[in-house]
Amino acid sequence: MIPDQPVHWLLGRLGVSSLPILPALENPTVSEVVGAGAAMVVIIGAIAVIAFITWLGAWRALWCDWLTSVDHKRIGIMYIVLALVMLARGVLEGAVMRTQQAFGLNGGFLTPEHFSELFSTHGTIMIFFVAMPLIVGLANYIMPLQIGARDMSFPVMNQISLGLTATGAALVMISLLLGQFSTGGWSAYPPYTGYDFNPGPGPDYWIWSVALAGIGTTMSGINFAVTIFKERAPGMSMFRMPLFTWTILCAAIIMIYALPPLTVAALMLAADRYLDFHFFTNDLGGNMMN
Amino acid sequence: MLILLSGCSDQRNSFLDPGGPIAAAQRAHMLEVVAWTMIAILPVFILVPLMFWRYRYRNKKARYTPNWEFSGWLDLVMWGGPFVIVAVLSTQLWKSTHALDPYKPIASAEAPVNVQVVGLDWKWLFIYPDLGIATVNELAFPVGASVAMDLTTDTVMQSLMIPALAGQIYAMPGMRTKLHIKADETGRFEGENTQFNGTGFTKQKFEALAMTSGDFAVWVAKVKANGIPLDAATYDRLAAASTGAQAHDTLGSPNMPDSVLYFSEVEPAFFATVLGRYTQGTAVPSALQPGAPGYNPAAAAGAGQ
Repeated sequence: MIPDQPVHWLLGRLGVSSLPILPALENPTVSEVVGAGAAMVVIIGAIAVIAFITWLGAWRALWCDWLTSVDHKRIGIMYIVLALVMLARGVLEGAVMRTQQAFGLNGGFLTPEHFSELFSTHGTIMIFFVAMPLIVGLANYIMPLQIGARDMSFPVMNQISLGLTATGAALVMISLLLGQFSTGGWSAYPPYTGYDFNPGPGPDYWIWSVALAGIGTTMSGINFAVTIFKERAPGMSMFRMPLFTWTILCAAIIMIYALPPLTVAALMLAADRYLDFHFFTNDLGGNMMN
Repeated sequence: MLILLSGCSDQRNSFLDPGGPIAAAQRAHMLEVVAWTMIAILPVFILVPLMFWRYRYRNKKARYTPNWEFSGWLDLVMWGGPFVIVAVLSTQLWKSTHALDPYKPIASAEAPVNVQVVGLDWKWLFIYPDLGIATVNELAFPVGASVAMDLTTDTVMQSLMIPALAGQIYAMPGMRTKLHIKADETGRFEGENTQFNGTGFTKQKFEALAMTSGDFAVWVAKVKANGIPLDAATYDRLAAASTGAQAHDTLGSPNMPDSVLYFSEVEPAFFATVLGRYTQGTAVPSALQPGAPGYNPAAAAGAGQ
């Protein structure tokens, strides 16, 4: 961080130079062009989706029947759509990384920072925004049908889970347009991702996208477990449940145990970065093994 | 390109080609685990084609039993086999985890060599406290001697691994971890950092040289003759984020190998000073944290580090 840089009252340290298209025009190296191209894909994709919905005249239907729906099947489908959109980005990133490695012996065409960002976003997306939404989406659709329940136990909470996960995914997409994503890998071990070693906005993108998705997925896990325990149709005893429902029950219990610590750890890292806490720093009793 | 080619020539970098007892045990474990799991895997690969052949459409001799439901013997094999495999593997894992504890000294006839390791961005500093010398990116030791390492870093978390000799162990600022290695034969082994720590990560390789004790004495004399003293000012410049090659350009001399630095004098308490830097109870600003983008060697010198 440069201390003399003026700080805007609303945009903070964001400026025109945060947009990746301008550096690509000033300095058209392949690495910059790849980054700017990805940002353009996001913008054009968003415009195309908006135009398509308008052409269908489907805004009202989208809002009333889908985005505000608490129906488990629709939420499941939206989860799967989210996972597929993020999968498209994850696969493209994998292809770019492999292409870089094919030419990489003499430096390749990407800068080291760009490559680090790619493997960080690729890992984060594939774990938190492809694998998990895909499982949650399938479970949302199938599991209540299999056990004869009308809906999940907490339909509104289900909708909130989707909203949080989608917001986390949106943050990862925005990182293509504004600033950079973390270079610390999907596991983002401090102190490398701490303020001293990575003062840029990258780890913040990771923290907030993972924290939001973490809260959402924790709530999904609670929802699944409660639904399976409490909402089974008469006669559907535990040992008559299909194997898929058993799988989801086990996965839900893992979600309930694994994601709150991850979310809290991400927020502790946020406290380190913004509030001068020392959970994971090198000095003042911080301990990266915490 | 030359560096790459020489890296391919005779530097060993796999536990499948072990140079010491730890890596040899790791290879034996892997083969043992593969053998045990084959008990579960081979029947599948053998029986599936057999079943297809046996119960094919035109084979009238295969018995047709649509109401068949349960076989106690079959269930016993299907559940008991994996149970035995898991039990055997868990026992082995338990025993070898204790046998190969990286903190446990390895018995050896030769006198052990003590090495203190400081991970820096993006190079390794090896201090020989008993000999009063230090090197960057070159770890030499006599064949057959147990090498007792104390590890820490003066930047972010790192992880040291010499695949052909021993597994990986983390090194963290303000903390000390330990690793014991031993080589059974002379050779050059690739060592590396396996915890991502920034743009120079892929360049953070070093060479572990197992040599005869005569050669080791010659090597020590060479380091003493060609090295520069490792004083505070030199260390502050060394610790700044740079690859071994860059550090060689700024501090090294033509008498030192590529990407390697030799230090002829080291304070006895040097490692303890590095270890204690972060545990003084006072804040260490970015300017004094090597590897941080805000690190400033001049400020570090001013602060009397």
